[in-house]
Amino acid sequence: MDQITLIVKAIPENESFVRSTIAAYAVRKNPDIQIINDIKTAVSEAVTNSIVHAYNDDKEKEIHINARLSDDSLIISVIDFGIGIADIEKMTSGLFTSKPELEHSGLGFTIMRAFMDELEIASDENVGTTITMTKRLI
Amino acid sequence: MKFELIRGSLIIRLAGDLDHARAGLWRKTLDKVLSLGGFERVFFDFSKTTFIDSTGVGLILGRYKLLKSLNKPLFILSPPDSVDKVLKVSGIYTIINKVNEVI
Ligand SMILES: Nc1ncnc2c1ncn2[C@@H]1O[C@H](COP(=O)(O)OP(=O)(O)OP(=O)(O)O)[C@@H](O)[C@H]1O
Ligand SMILES: [Mg+2]
Repeated sequence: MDQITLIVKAIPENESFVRSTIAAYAVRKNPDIQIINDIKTAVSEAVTNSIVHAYNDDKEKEIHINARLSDDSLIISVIDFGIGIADIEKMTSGLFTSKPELEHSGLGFTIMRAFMDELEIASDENVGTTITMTKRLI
Repeated sequence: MKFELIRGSLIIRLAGDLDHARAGLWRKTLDKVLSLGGFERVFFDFSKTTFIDSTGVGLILGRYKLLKSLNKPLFILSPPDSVDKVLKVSGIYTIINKVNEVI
C-alpha cells in the first residue's frame, strides 16, 4: 500500500504543516473538498493533543504521522511517545479535559469521531499513544 | 484582526486559521478589544475564517462566558461550511446564535 511518514517536532507551528501535507497527499484520490476538510480537522486535533497533553509543550519531542492510501480510503496514524491516556474510556468519550484552565473543553475526540469513519486509540501510560483514523475518500 | 463598531454592535473579523497554534495570540487581542467596552452586542465574523479546531471553539466559549457575565449577547456571523461543521459538532449553537447579517 502506498504510504508516507512525517516525523515532526512537537511545536504548534507543525499543526498546520501536518494537516496541509496529509490533505495534499489525500488529494491524489480526488476526494470532495468536504472530505479533505474533515481530514484536516481530525489530523490537527490528534497532533494538537500530542503536543498539549502527551508532551506538555516540550518542543524537543517528536510526533510521527503515517498516512496510507488504499483503493478507497485514507488511513492515518498519529503516534507520540508521551504520557499516554490513563483511562481511554473516560478520557476520550467526549467533554473530558485534563486542562480546563487553558480553555480546553474536551471536544477533540468528539470532533475526530464525527469527522472520520473509524477511530482507534491505543495507549499505554508513559509509553505513548497511537491514534489511527480511517476516512473513505470516494 | 479587523473590528468595527456600528450602532452598538461590535463586529470582530476572525480572518485566517483559528487553531491551537494561534489561540494565544487571538485570546490576547480579543480580550484587549472586548475590555474597551462601548458596545451592546458582539459579532464574531467568521466569513474570512479558513480553519477552526477545538482550541478555537474553546476560545469562543471562553469569550462567550466573559460576555455573558457582562450581559452582552454574542453572535456567530457567516461561518463557511467547514467552520460551521466544527461549530455544529461542538454543540456551540445550543448556546450561541448564528446569524447571516449584523442585527
Ligand atoms: N496524545 C495524548 N496523550 C495523552 N493524553 C491525551 C492525548 N490525547 C488526549 N489526551 C487526554 O484526553 C483528553 C481529551 O482529549 P480531547 O482532545 O477530547 O480534549 P482536550 O484536548 O482536553 O480539549 P480540546 O480538544 O477541546 O481543546 C485530554 O484532556 C487528555 O487528558
Ligand atoms: Mg484536544
